Amino acid sequence: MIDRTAEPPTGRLVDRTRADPTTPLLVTGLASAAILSADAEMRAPRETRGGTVEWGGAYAEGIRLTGPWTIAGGIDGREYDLPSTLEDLEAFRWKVVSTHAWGPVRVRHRVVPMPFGPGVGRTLEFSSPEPKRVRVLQRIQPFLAPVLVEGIKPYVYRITGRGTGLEARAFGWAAVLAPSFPATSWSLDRRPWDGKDYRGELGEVGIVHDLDVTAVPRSLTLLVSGGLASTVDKDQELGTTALVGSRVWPPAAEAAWASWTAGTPTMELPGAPQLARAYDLARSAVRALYTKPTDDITGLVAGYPWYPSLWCRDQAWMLPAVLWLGDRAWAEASIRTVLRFQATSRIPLLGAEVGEIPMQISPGPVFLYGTSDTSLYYPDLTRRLVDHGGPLDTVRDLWPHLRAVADWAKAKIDTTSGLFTNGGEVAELRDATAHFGSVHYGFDAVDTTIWDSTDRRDHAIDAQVHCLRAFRAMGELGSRIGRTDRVADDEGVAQRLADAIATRYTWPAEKYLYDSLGRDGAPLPKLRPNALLAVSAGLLDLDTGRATVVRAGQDDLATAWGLRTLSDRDASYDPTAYHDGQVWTIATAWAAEAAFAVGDAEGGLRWLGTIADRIVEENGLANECYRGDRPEPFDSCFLLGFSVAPFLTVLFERLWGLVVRSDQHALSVRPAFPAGWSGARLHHLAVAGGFVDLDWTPSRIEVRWSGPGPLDVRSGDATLALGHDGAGTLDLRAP
Amino acid sequence: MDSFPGHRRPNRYGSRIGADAMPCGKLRCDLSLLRQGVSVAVGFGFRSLEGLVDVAQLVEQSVYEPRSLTRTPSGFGFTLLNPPLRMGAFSSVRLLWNGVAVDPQRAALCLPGSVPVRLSSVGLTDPVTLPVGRRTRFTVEAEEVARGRHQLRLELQSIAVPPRIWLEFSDEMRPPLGPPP
Repeated sequence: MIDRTAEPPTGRLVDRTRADPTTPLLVTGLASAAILSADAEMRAPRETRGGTVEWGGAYAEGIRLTGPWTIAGGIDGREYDLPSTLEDLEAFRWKVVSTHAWGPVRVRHRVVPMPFGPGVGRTLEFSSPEPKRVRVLQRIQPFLAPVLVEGIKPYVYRITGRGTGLEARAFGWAAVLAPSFPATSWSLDRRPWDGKDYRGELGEVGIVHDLDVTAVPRSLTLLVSGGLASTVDKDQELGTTALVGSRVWPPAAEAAWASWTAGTPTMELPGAPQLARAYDLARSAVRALYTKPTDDITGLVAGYPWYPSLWCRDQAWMLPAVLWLGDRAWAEASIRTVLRFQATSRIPLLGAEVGEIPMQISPGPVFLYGTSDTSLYYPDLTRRLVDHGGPLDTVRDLWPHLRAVADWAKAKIDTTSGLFTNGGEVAELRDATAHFGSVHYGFDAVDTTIWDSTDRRDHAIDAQVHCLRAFRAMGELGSRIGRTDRVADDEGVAQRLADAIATRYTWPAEKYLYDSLGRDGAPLPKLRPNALLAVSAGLLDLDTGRATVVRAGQDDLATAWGLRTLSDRDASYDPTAYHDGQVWTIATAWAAEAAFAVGDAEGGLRWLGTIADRIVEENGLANECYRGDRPEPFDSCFLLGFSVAPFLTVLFERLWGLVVRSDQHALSVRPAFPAGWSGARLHHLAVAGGFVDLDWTPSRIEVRWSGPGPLDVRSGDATLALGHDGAGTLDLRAP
Repeated sequence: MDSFPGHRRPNRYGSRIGADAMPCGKLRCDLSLLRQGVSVAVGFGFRSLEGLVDVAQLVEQSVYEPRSLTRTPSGFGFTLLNPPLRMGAFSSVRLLWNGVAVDPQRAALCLPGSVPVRLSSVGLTDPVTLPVGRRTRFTVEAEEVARGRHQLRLELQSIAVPPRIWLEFSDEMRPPLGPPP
C-alpha cells in the first residue's frame, strides 16, 4: 500500500491560532493579489536589499494599488485590532480567513482577490449574542505605481467621489475603493472628506462604518480594484458590480483552483514523502504565479513581493514545468504574449534590438529589453510545446518570430571567437537615455545574464548553452514543418557551440568549467554553478561531466541549503552579494539535474530534497535566495518561480526520466529512483491529447492510457504499444 | 533650460532663444525620441506609448523633488522623494556637486524623524535605508554657493546588489526654504 503524501485536500497552507506577523501570506487571482501577514493584517514589512520595506497591500494589473490596509474596531469605548484579537487563521492560495473576538462581538474576516478581475476584497462579518454598536475604521495607504518601478511611490493623488466610494488616481493608474454599503464617514490624512474633488499629497484614506450588530451575522465588504487608469475609465461600474458578486468570489476562486489542480498530475513517492509534499506545494505555487492582468497579457509573474510582473527569462524557466503540469494552453498563450512584444525595430531607449524578446512586460502594456539571454530560451520552449502536443501549425505561425530570434542571436556571435556574446546591454541603454529627461539614473552593471549584477563577459558558459539549444531547436522545428532551407546552417551553429563548450571551457586545475571566456579567449576563472547546465545538456563526455558534478558538490560552492552563485574561495565572494555568493534555489535545481544526467541519482535526489525542505518549511512559498554563509533568506522575494518550477521539471524529466513526443504518440520513462524504493506513482500526466497513469515498482511499470489514439511507451529496451484507452505493463527486468 | 518646466515661471519671450534653447544635439535627440516613440506606437499600439510615458513621468517626478535645491545657512540642500532605482540599504553614499566630489564629512542626509547622518559615517556596518514614499533631505556645507544652475550626482552602493547606482539631476539654486507653516 502506497501512502498518500499529497497536499491536504483543503489546500490549506498556513494554520495559526496566534498572530504571527513574521510569516508572509500571499493570495492571488489572475489579475490581482494581496500580501499580508499571518496576523491577519495587510502589512508585511520585510527585509529587502538589506533594508526593511513594507509590502502589505492590494495589487492588480501589475500595479500596487495600496500600501498597508489596516482594520480597527471600537465597541463600547474599547478599541480592537485584528492581530491582538486573532483566534484562528487559515491561509489558502486563494483566500485568507481568520476569526477574531472583539469583546462579545465575533468577527469573521476574509481576504479574497477577485478570481478573474483586478481587485481585492476584504470582508468582515460581525455577530454578537447581545446587540452592539460597532465602529469599524479601515485605514488604507494609496500607492498606485507599477511594481516594475522598484521602490518608487507617488506623492500626489487626485481623489474624487465615485458612487458610494472613492476613486484615487496618480499618473496613469487608478484605484476605486468601494464599500458594500455607504460609509459613515471618510477621511483623507485624518481630515474629514466630504466627497469633493481633491488633488494633493496624500498618505492615508480612512473609512468609517458604524454598524448595529446582533446575533444575525452582518457583513461589510470593501473592494479595492483598478490598476491601469484605462481599466477604471472603461468600466464605470467597476467596484459596484464586482461587489454584487463578492459572495461568490471565494467559491469561484476555490473552484478555479480545484479545476486547475484536477487537470495536473498527482505524484506519490513513498520513498521520499517530503518530495511528494513539496511537489504538491510547488505545483500550486506555480499556479499562484499565473497572471492574466489584461486581455493582451497571459503568462506567469516572476515572483512576490517585488517581482510580480512578467519577466520573460523567469517565465522561460517556468514554462517547462507548466507543460509537464498539463497546461499546454497556458504555456502557448504565455509564449505568444512574449513574442507579441518582440522588437520589430531598434528602440535604443528601451534597449531593444530587432528580434529581441523583452526582459520584462507589464500591463499598459509597457516593456523593456536589454538582456543577453532572454530571447534565446523561446525557440526551445516552442519545441517543447510541440513535444507536449502543441500543433505544428503553431510553429508555422510563430516561425517568423523564432527566425528573428535566431537572426538576433547570430548577430551576437563573435566572428573571431565564434561564441555568443553577452555584455554591454546596460551601457547601451544608459547612453540612449542620457539626453532625455531632467533626471537620470541608472546602475553600472556591465552584463545581463541570469546573474545580472556581476561581470561575466564576454562569453558566459550558460549563454552558450542557451544559444546552442536555440539553434538546435530551430533546426529541429524547421525540419518538422518543412522549412529546411536553413536547417543545416542552424545545426551547424549549434554544433560549433557544442564543440566549443566541450573543448574551450575546460578548467583542468579545478576539474570544472570556466565561467566565461573573453573575446581573446582568456578564461574567467570563477567557479559558479552555471557550468552545470553544460553537463545537463549532455555536452561533456561522461567522465568530465561526473567530475564537474563532483566539483560542484564541494563545500566551497555547495551548502546544506543549496548551491552558491560563486565559490566562497573566490576573492570577490560575499555571502550577501546577490550573484556573487548568495545561495539560489535555481542553482540547486541545476545541481540536481546535472547529477541525474551523469547517473548520480543519489546526488540528484539529495539536491531535490534540499529544495523540498525549503518549500515545505516556507509554507508553500519558496525564497528566491539565501545568504551564502547561513540558511537565511536575504534580499529575497518570498516566492520566486525560479525556486519552484525548475524543481518540478527535474522531478518529471530526471527523477521520473520522462521524455515526451506527443506528435509521435511516444513517451519514454526511465526512472532514476534509488535502490530501496519500492514504488512510485504518477497519474494524470497529459500526453498526446490524453492522459497516462504510471505505477512503478522496481520490476515493472503499470501503464494506463486514456487518449484519442495510440501511445507507445518505452523504458529502456522495454516497449509497450497501447491503443485507445489501453493498459499494459512494462517489464523492467533484464531479459 | 529648466529641468522642470511645469514648475517654472512663464518664459520671457525670446529669453532663451539660442544654442541653449535648441541646440543641434537636442534636435537630434528629439527626433530620435519621436522616431522611437513612433516605433513603439506602430509596433505595439498607442497604449504602450502612453504607458511608457506614464512610467517615465513617474520616474522623473518621484525621485528628486523638483525645486528642492535650496540654499541653507551653511550651504545648500535638496530632497529625495524616493530611493533612486534601488530599494534597501546602502553602505556608501557619495555626492558630486558640479562634477566635484563633496567631502563626506561635510554632507549629511536626514531621514524622516531622524537626526542627520553624515555621509562619512555611512558604511557596511552602518548602512542607511532610503525610505519609499518618504522624503530624505540632503544637506551640504559649502562656503560659496553660486546662483544659477547646479548639477548634482549621487552614487550609492547597495549592500545586496553590487553594481553602483547613480542619480543625476540639475536644477536652479533657490532661496532658503521658509519656516514650516
